[in-house]
Amino acid sequence: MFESFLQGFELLLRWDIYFYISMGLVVGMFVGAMPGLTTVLAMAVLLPVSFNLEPMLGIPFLIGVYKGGIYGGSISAILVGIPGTGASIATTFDGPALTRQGKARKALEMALFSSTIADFLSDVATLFLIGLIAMIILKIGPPEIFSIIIFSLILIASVSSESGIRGAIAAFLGLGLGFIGTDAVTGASRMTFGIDALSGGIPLIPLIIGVFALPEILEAVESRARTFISESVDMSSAGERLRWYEFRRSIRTILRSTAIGTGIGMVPGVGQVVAAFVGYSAAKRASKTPENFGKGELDGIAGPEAANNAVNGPTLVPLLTLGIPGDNVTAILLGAFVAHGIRPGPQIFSEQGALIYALLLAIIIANVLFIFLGYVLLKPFAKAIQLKKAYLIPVILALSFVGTLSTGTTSDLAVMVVIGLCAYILRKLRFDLAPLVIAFVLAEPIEYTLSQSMLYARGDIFEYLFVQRPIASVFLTAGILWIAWMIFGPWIRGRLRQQRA
Amino acid sequence: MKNIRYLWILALAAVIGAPLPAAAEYPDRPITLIIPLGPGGSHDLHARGITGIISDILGQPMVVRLVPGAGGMKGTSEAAKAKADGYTLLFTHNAFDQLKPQTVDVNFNTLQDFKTVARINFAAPILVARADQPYKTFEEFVAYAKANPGKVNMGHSGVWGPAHIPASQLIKETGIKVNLIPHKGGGPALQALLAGEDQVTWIFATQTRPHYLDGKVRVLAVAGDTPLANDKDFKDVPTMAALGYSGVAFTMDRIFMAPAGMNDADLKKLRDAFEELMDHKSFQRFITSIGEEVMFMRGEEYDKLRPGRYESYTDLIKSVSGK
Repeated sequence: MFESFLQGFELLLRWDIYFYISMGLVVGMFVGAMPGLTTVLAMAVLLPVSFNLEPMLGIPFLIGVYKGGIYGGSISAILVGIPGTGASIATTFDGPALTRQGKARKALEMALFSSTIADFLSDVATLFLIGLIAMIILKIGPPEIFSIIIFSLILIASVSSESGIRGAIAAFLGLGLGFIGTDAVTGASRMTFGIDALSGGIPLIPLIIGVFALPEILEAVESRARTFISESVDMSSAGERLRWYEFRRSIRTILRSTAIGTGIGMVPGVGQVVAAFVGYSAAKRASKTPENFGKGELDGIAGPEAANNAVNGPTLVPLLTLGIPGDNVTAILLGAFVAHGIRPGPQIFSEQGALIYALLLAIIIANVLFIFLGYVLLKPFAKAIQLKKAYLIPVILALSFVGTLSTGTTSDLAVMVVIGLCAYILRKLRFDLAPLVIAFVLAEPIEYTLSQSMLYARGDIFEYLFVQRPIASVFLTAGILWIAWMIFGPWIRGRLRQQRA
Repeated sequence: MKNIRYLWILALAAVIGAPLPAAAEYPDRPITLIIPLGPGGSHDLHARGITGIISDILGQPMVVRLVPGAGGMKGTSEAAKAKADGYTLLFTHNAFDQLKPQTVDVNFNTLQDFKTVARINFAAPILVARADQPYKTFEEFVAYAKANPGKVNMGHSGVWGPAHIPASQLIKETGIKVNLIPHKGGGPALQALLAGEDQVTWIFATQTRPHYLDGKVRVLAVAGDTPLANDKDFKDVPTMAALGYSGVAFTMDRIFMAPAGMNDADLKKLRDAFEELMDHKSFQRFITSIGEEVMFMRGEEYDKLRPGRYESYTDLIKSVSGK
């Protein structure tokens, strides 16, 4: 094994690998930054390019597109409050607030450093612990996924916004929206009201744009008379870079989120979105100044950004060790492997160990490259926000429509506009819509894994979840205890204090 | 008479290789290829290779558009409603073409609204079992399942997908009772088998191979009547037909479809182009590299098979939902 590791090193001693990784990173970053364009689609379109390259160039190129794209999604989340992917929704909590304070560049750099450092650490951990991670992944079946999602939701809810009841209403709305379309288990269509556009369910990208971009734009239009027309956001300090002391304060958060992300990365299918939210919640809980979260806190960028990137390492494990892609991204990578005659699976380390180690090392190096590339490329993005809002908003609106149309159908535009108008009204009623989106994203996996668990249970679901599946039982019990503590904790503490007094 | 003269001019122009008037010849602009499935699957992979090569033959690029959702019916419906000018094609499989539209409300009539351009190849689902199970052959498995009704978990990749159909056919033919577990695709179904959640599942050769060679799974039978003769690992696996269950016949045909209103000359041109593609050296290299074979059938011939298969699925759906 050590020998193929060294051979892998030798495969990396050529400059063109780094050229292709860099190209992928740059392409991915620009695609990801466009609202509505998805990284997955960019990878699918560029897949044939990798067919014509040798594997040591083509696969790192695609991985570059992926890593760049995830970060690109955070750029639009920070600058204009529109997450490029589900993974960067949690970044919209503090990103736009920092931009408004003229700290756009600081936020972008914090996102860059926390993303790449977390990705780097999780990739290194994956490289050395691949066998262990592969074993753990096989232990996580439908009941475990179900209970981990429920536990994460409780965790997220416990630290989320001020108004619990509004958050809960938004979350249930999100669940309801998530159930529209096709019943994932039986394939029957439901709650579509006979509208063909809804037969496949509400697509994620139009929903995200509808919820995050349109209300923003409408509000800007609405307040035009008062302030916006003459205002260009105060950008006198937008170019200011992140300081070392600011970064140092977030190191703990980055490490914590890396651990969270690496752990959640082993849960197939739901990884990045959940990791980002849990990373954010954990950072807020551990912070000395939790009241600053949501108002422009750099730690609120580091938390989700580190967590969603730390997922990347472990998601490669089922692909490499079992030949099973856990999501769309790894499915495309599998396509690239297969087209080069490489069949990931149990034999791959004995048959093509050198190549696989070289690829894993190339992935790790891609993170280092990206720190430098991103650092240089951020400037034009940070500058773009200096445009007058009167110009910027129509441009964003146009980009949102073009982006939605390029990945979907014309009916998606209608869905986007309707959701946008509803979201605008909800915002006016002071609803926080982030719980709506996370509930929407998780509705399907929750339903699916619960249905599967019930089939496996052959009847008694509670006995199955709590007795037969110890891992699921631990997470569910912990969740229940957490809820109990949130309800009774303050009361118990109050009583104790009284007794002491 | 005028038309004939025009044709002569066209033919003459073609012979001397003169540039033709743009409007005269199909295709004169890029063709959109709708795939009613998500990125990264075997259809996506096939399409990425095929579209790169067929543009050499057609002289126009073919652009992939992935429209997943509603169990494949969203993209299929979009293709059915597209203008029948040959600039929107559909790359799908027979479960979406002949079975799925019968199970949900759709706004098209699959047999009337589509014509087949070509079948590229097909893949036969294989019934595999965990190596730690007591049954070693298909007959032993059936006997075991009969002796232990409802005890065996049989995974599949989603309702009315390419694993659920042979599973339903098997249950109908043998009368066994198993616990059918749906998964979100073939990958998760395989993972559930390897994790020991499921004891048996249906899966394609390319995905099974590494785990078969690793000794983790046993191969019991292959659906349909065609042995995997060219497969060095699975050439001796018995077919369902040879085992006496010819009703377990589902194989996944990868087919290119065109809206039925397309004019005959253009459709013929498309069909010819796909036939030519099969002899293209880089296409053959590509298909081999992704571990598949070419099993070409012209669209005209495949169209003859569709009504009969459609009806057989009507019976299958009845027998499954009748329980």
